[in-house]
Amino acid sequence: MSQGKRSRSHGSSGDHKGNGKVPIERIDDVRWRIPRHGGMRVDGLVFADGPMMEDIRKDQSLQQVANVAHLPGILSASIAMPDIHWGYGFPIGGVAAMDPDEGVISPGGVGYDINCGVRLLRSQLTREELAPHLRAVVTRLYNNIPTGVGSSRQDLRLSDKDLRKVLTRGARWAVEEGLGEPQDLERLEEGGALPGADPDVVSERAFDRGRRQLGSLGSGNHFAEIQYVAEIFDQEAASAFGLFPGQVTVMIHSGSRGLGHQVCSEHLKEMVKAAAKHGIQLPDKQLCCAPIRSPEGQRYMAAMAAAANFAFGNRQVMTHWARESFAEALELPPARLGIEVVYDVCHNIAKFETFEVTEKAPRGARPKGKKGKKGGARREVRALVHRKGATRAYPAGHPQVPEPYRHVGQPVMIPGDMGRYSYVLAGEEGAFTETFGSSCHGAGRRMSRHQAKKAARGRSLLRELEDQGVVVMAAGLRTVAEEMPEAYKDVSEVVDVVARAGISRKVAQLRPLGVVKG
Amino acid sequence: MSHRFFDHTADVGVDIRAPSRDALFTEALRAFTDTLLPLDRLETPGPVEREISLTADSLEDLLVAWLEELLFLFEVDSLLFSGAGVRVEEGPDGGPGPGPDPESFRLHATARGEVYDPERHPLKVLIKGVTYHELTVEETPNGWWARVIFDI
Repeated sequence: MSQGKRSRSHGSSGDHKGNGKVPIERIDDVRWRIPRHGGMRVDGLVFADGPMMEDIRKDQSLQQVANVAHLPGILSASIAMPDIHWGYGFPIGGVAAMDPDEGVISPGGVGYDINCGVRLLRSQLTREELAPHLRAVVTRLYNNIPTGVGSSRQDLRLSDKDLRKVLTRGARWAVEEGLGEPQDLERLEEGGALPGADPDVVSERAFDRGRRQLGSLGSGNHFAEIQYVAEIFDQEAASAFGLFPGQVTVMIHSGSRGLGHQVCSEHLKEMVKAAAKHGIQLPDKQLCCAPIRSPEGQRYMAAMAAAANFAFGNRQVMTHWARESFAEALELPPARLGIEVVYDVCHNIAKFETFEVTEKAPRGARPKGKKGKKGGARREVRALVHRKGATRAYPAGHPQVPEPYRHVGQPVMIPGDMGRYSYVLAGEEGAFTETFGSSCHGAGRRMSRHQAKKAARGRSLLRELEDQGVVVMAAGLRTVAEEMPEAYKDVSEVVDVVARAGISRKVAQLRPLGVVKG
Repeated sequence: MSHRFFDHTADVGVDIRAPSRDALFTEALRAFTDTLLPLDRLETPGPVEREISLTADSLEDLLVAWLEELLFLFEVDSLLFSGAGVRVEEGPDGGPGPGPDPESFRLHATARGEVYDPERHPLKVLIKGVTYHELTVEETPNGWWARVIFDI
């Protein structure tokens, strides 16, 4: 490579130009199509209502949806959820399913924080019972769950041998070590451990970064939140998920920490070379990828699965410490608290999954082979599904939905902001036929971090939140300003769109009581 | 030498300017540290010294490798650096191994700083990764400039 002294090797298309040039057609109330053009192999399919689309058009995310459609082996459509926003290469809120034989795997389609996800815990406590102890529980949570940099617990020191087990066994490792209950594992996506993880392909640097970080929250938008069930929309599903009005719940949002970031960074570099080697034309270098079947693709899959398992283990360890925090603060035996896992979802991941689709579906798709007949025959499709800021949302009846939930569909947790609310949804059939079993993942930012800090100047956000009944403890006050409620979009609008689209339905609304931030 | 932060949705971008290529990498270190905490909170020169050597196929990749190294040293060894002497070289590395050497860029640095102390070093944000988005290293008539966006 001869670059001379002037070079600009990583510039991406469409920077700061918005989506002005991307053609988009409205399909219906909540669906939009980016018709296949240029090097796109499939259409783009975006879920949004009219006002949302006005907003989406302001950044480059539609261009990114179109860019993803260029990837070899992409099936049906490059899909975007209503919380879509600008990301690195892939948009956040994007879903891309790849043919296992002809498709590619891309680290950019997973993201830096591999298996960032959300876990929801339910309790037997009511909001009233918790009220006198709320501050004590938040304080315990803040002290027991390490947040921020370099913060770790002395009583969880992992040898390389331990860490290797975490990378292959995920949440299972933690439960075997006494950090959780065996039944926790039955209510985690993939049982809390992805197959195919290989610690040998995870670098020493990633080990170094991960060694002290298991069981830690991290910073930015990650949190541990005490909530209560404010509203039930679907009584049958809420009962199946063990949720009742006024009940105290705990939501944990975190991922694979430095270990996952290290895996992503290293493989992005490798994939830039791999894409060139395999002759893959990319509209943006950050979409770098390799054929799933290639050695580079296989190595990334094995490393990504290991990092994903670290994240499953991470959320499991924090679950254990959350249980201990409640027990300590309320001086009650764990059985009385009844803190159980509702579910745990990944929202930055790539996995092989199997779908039964009709010949004409997913909507907006170009089925391979023969033209589909109306209401045509159903066939099974195995695909590698990239979900970057999107959540798996399997419908009722799917064998991978835990047995107690199988008649209502898989729980899907959608965190909002720390002042308003979060949602529990249930997967619907529409997700299976249209979005490769995927739904939205959150609210998305309305303000940049800088704008939020400016808006917070001269205000006491902690006091404001406390006046609303939310106790916040954070490692840094800056984080609170950057993460303040008004910095985020209203998550209920996002949830409304996926519900109207038939991808998932609303089950319950959760409101915050106490928040721990990094 | 100077650096200026800019907003990038959920992340932080920085434009770095310096009279020479070597100075650009020194200023990149200061920009990295300045993202984490106010630079005046650190002693100069700090009591800790680290030798760092890196290679990459391009100047952009070398800048990312440099910043990733600083991130690694912060996360794993709790080191914060306030300054560095940096030498960037280009050309075949003459190293062993079969086949032609790729044209490569090498960095040798002596970085000075101190161990992170939560009491004295209030952090503004944590950097999680160094991205390739809009990554630029360029020589201009007025010296060198670089742009990098941190994932935070």
